[in-house]
Amino acid sequence: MNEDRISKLPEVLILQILSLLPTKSAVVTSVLSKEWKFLWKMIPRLEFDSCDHKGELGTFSNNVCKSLLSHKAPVLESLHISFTFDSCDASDIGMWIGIAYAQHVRKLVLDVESKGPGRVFPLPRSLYNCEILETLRLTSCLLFLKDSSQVCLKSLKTLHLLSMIYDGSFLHLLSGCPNLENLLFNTSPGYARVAFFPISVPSLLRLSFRIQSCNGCSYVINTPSLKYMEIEAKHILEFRLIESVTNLVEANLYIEYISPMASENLLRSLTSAKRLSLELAPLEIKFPTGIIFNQLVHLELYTTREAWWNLLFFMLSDSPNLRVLKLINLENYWRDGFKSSGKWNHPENFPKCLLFHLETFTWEGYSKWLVQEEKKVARYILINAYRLKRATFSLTDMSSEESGELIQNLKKVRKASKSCKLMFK
Amino acid sequence: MSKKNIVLKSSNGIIFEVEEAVALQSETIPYMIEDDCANDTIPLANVTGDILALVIEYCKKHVVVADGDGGGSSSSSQEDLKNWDAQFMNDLDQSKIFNLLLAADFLNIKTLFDLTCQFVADTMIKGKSVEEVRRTLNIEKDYTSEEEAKARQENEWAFK
Repeated sequence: MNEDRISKLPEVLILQILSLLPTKSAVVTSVLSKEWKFLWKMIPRLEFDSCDHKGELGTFSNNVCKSLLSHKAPVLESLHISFTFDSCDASDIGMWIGIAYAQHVRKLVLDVESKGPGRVFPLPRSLYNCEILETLRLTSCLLFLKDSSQVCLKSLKTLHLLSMIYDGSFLHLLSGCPNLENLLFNTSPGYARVAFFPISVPSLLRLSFRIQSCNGCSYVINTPSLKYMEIEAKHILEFRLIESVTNLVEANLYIEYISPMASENLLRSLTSAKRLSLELAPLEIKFPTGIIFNQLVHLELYTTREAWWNLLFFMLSDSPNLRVLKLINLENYWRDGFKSSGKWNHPENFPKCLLFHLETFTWEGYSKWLVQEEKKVARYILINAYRLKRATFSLTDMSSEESGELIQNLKKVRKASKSCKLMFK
Repeated sequence: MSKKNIVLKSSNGIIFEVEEAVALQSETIPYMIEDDCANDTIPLANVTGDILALVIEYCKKHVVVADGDGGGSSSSSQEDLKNWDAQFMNDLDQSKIFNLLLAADFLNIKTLFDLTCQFVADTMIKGKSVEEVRRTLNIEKDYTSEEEAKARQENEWAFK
């Protein structure tokens, strides 16, 4: 009954199981029996963490080099190395990269355990020359590039830069990735040495960045193939597109402060989007005129900023095909500023989307803290959306009495759509 | 409208009749239907009845959720499915688990194959010492003590 089943499996299945293990556990299997001795060397993904390699200086690097050199998998799909500052130096990284590149690694991840912006790991130049590398993820490193002639990452499709120091090197790196499709980068305060981010990657399909720097930053973007954009930023001074993005499908924008000119440019860039999620401050925005969001089907709006309904007003008027509208309130407390921040005015021209298309209306966090103007918005949609099928209000942070009153008030509204289901969660 | 059923026959001759959508989670079965269209019963020479019953139980569970409420399936149903998967695997003994892995591979049901491989990796090997893995998986030690010590030394870091 106590049969050794696993050793009798076809090798390809054993390798499949081993590749799902952390590398350390896979290495342990080399001692199980003679049959198992070399199996782990065939797994396509390797990960090393300097925490697992206590000992004198150089131990970690030697172990990584040894494991890589004895590795036998035909393709090294992924190599992930996490390390602390004191466990190795730049020449060690140069060695790992040399071996990994010789083994045709497809995905490389280097995570440095950061001790703040002052201590960022310098990367060796050899990193930037690889014809096969498809994915590169770096955390808390310093790119250290004087010009773009040092960079040649022809196959690189995905680049993630997390908690990096940004200086001119960023620009040089991007210009050496002619086929890049996905770019994600972020900073914490203190990490950006520049306030100007020129992003010129004609092949780019997805762009995401999160810039927590309080100083205003400028973004000049040349990505005409872009399909997806996500921006989370504290302060945008300038936003400019060199070429328009006519293929953009989805954008998620969460911006604390944006200059009027930048906001106008940003909103103009969204006209081809099918899905939008927005958290913007309407009182700062300059709404562009003469644009229509013809493709927009799904709109999500955060109700966190003063007079947010101005943004809703603008979007409803210019999105004739909108089918799904979701409002999200995350803040349940008294919002004094909201009371004096202007009135909800009915759009002058009746929004076409209410007449013909809006089917789903959701309000997350509908609560007693909402001001009168916000409740008017809810009534306005219910009264005027002729094709509405479902209106869902999720009520939070209230006693049953308080939510009962809100529900009653919503139920009393004479809805334009007789078939609309009103739901409360 | 009546749903189309498919008849599967295990290696020990047990017959199972299932809805087409359930069976078609296997990427192997469509080829067998094409090859053998004259005969309504699909013989599965590599899978015994008890294992085929498990495979069908898994596929039935996963087909229901897949076309649940018209694509509007919430994250909770994903969560439920995950819990169901975990319970499903936990109830099996080791011999059944390896037979199920082979069946999922043969029938090419990717999610079931991944589930069983991950279960073996997580519960029988991950984080365990050499002795524990040998005991769990009944692997016979064919190293002498000296040989084993030497093998350990080659990758000493992994045994700390």
